[in-house]
Amino acid sequence: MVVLPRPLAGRGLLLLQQAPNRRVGWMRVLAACLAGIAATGLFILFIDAVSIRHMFTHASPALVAYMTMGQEAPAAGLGLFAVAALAAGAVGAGLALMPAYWRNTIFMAVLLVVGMALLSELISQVLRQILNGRPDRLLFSQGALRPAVAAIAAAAVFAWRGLVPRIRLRVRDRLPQLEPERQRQVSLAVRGAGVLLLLVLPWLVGSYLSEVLANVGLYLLMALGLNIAVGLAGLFDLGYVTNFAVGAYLMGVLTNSGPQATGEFNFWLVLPVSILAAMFTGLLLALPVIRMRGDYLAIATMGFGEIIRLLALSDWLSPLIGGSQGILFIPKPNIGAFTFQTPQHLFYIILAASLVMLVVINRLDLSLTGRRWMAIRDDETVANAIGIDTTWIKTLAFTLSAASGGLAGAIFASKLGTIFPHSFSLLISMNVLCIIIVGGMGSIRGMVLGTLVLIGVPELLREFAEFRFLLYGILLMAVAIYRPGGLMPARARHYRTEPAPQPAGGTPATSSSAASG
Amino acid sequence: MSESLLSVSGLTMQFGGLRAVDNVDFRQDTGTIVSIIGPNGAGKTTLFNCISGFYEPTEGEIHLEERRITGLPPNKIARAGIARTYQNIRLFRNMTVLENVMLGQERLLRTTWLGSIFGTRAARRETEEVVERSHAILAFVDLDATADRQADELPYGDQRRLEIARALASEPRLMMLDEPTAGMNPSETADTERLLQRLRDERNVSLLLIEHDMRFVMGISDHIMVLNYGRTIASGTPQEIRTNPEVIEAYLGSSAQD
Repeated sequence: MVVLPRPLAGRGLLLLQQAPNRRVGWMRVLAACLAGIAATGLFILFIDAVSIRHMFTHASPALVAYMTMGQEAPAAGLGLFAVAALAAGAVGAGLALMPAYWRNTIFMAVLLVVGMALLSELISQVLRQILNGRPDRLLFSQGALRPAVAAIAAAAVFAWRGLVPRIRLRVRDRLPQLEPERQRQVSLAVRGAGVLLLLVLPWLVGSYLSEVLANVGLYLLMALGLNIAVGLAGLFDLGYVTNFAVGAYLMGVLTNSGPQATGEFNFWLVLPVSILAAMFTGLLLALPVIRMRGDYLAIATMGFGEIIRLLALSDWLSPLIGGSQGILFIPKPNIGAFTFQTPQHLFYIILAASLVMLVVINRLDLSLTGRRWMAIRDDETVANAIGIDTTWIKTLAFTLSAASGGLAGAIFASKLGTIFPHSFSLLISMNVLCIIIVGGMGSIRGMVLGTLVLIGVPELLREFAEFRFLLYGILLMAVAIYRPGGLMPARARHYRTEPAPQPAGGTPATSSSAASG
Repeated sequence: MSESLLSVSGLTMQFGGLRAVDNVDFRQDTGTIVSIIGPNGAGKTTLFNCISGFYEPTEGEIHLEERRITGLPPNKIARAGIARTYQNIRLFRNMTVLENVMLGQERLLRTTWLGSIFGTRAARRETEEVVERSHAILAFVDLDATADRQADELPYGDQRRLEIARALASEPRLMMLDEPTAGMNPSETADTERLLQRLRDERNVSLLLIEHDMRFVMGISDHIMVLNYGRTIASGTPQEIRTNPEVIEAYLGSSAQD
C-alpha cells in the first residue's frame, strides 16, 4: 500500500519543482494524482478481468487482494487508492512547498529510519557483539523496527541537523587562529583517533562485517592502484584484473601445501615478490600498448585480462597452477606462532596495506611525478613537447598501478586459502573501474567512498544481492549525468610556499608546500 | 653572421604528393626576433612542427647551435631548449594555472618517481623551488593573481599569456610562438608586443614567430621570412620585405599599400 502511491508523490514533487509558479504547481500535483489513480485503476480492472499470471508469475490472487487492500470488489479498492494517492500527492506537494532545509532534513530522517529497518539483522548482530544480553530487543521486535525507536531516530536527525552547522562554524572560526604547531597537533590527534577507531573496528563489528570490510579493503587497494593509470594518467586500463591474478597466483603457487606445492614459502617473503611480479607484468603489458590511446587502449588491455584468465584455465600451465582445479591449501599469513586466521585478524593486514598505499598514492598525487601523469591525461602531445618523456612516464603509470593490484591479489589468495581461475574475470576490472568513476577520477577520498558504496553497501543489503549490478548501472548513469566528476571529485592541488592554515583532518602535505588532494 | 642559434638547411616535409615545406633554409641569431609570414597553407605551422619534433622531416637538417636535432622526439627537443605555443591554445585544461607553469619547468627538473614516492628531501625541496619559480614567472606575465584557478577558466587573452608563461618556464633558448595575437583586439595585441619584447630584453629568449598581423610583425621583427607553397620567397629585414615586389604580389597585397 505504501509502495504504490510513492511514485505519485515523487512525481507530484518533480512537477511542482518545475512549475514556474506555485498555483500552477498545485494544479500539476492534482493532475499527477488523478493520472496516477486512473492508470492504477485501469491496471486493477485489467488484472481483475484478464489473467496475467503467465506473464507475471508473481501476480497471485493474494497479491492482487493486497494491492486492492483486501476489498473484494476492485472498485472499492480503487476508491481507497484514490484517497491514498491524493494523500501521497498532498504530502509530496507539501514537501515541495517546504523550505529546502526542512525538506532535506525530513528526507534524511526517513532515509535513516528505512536504513535502520533494512539493516535490522546487521545492527542486531553488531549490538550483540558489543553488549551482553539482547540489546537488539530494545530496537527491534521480531526483526521490525519499534515505532518509538523510529521516532527517536528521526528526532535525532533533526537535532543533528541543528547542531552540526554550529559546530562546524566554530571549528572553522577557531582553527585558523591557532598557531601552526597547535594546528599540526590537532590534525595529528584527529588522524590518530581515526586510526585508533580503525584498529578496534573489527572487534566492534564482529566477524561478518570484518569480512565485508576486508573485501572493501582489497577493492580499495585495487582502486587506488588503477586510479594511477585511469584517474591520474588518463590511461583507460580495462585489464586490471591481470595484476590481481598475477599477485594471487604467485602467492598461491609459492606458499601452498597442496598438489601444486613449490617450496611452501612464507607469506611475508612472497608478498614483496608478488608485488614485484605484478609490476613486471604491468611493465611487459605496457610495452605493446604504450602508443595506443583512448578506446584502443581500453580494448587491448581488456584482451590482456582475458588472456590471463584463459592462461590460468589452460591445460598447458595446469601442472604449475592447477588449471580449472585452482590452487588449494594456501596457508593464512602468520607471524611466528600467531596465525591470521579469522576475518578480524586478516582485516589488520589489509588495513596496514591500505594505509601504506594511501600514503604512497597521496604522495604521488601531489608530487611532480603526479603532475607529469596529469599532463599526459590532459594533452599527451603537449606533455611530450614540454619535455616529458611520455613513453616512460606512461609505462611508469602502468607499472606502479600494477603494484597495488598485485598486493591485493596476494592478500586475497592467502585470505581465501584457495584460488580458481573464475575468480579473475573481467568483472573485477569492471568493478574497480566503476569505483573510480563513481568515486571520482583522480580523487583519493573518492576511491574510499566509492569502494564503501559499491562494495560495502551491496554486501550489507544481502537481500538485494541480485540487484548489485542494477545498482552499479543506475549509479554510473546518475553520476555521469549529475556529477560527472564523481561523488567526491578530485580537488585542484594547491601549492603554497609558506605554511598556510589547514582544516583539521585535512591533508597536510609531506612538505611545507602544502596541498589538498 | 654572428653565433647562430637555430639553423635550418634544405628542410623538406612531404605528405604524400604534397610538399608542405620545400627546401627551406634559414638561420636565426641569438637574441633576435624572427617572424615567418605567408598565406594560409604556406607551410608555416608544418615548419614549426618539424622544428619541434612533431614531424620527422623528409629531408634536411635542423641544428640548435652546434647540436643536430633533426628527427629527435619532441621531449628531447624541448630538453635541448626549444619551447613553443600553439595556434589554438593547448593548455593543461583541468589543472591550475600554477600547475601549468610548474609543468613547463620539466626540462629543469631532477625529481624521479622514487623521490616522489619516498618524499625525499631533495624532491620536497625541488617542489618548493618549482612553486616559487612558477609564481615569479606568473608575476612576469601578470597572472600571479590567478595562480590557483583552473586553466580553462581564464579569459582568452590570459590563456594566451599563460601558454607563453608555460613556455618561458623551461628557460628556453628559443621560443616558437604560433600566431600569438590570433583573436586579439588592438590593445591586447599591443600588450602582447610589449610582453614579447620583454621576453627578449629581460629573459634573453630568442623568438621565432608565425604571425598574420602585419603591423605587429613589422614592428617587432628583426628579420622576416616569407613562405608561399612551402618555399621561401623572400627573407630580410622588415624594410626589405615591405618593398619586395614578389612578396607584395603573393601575400601582402593591399595591406602593404595601406
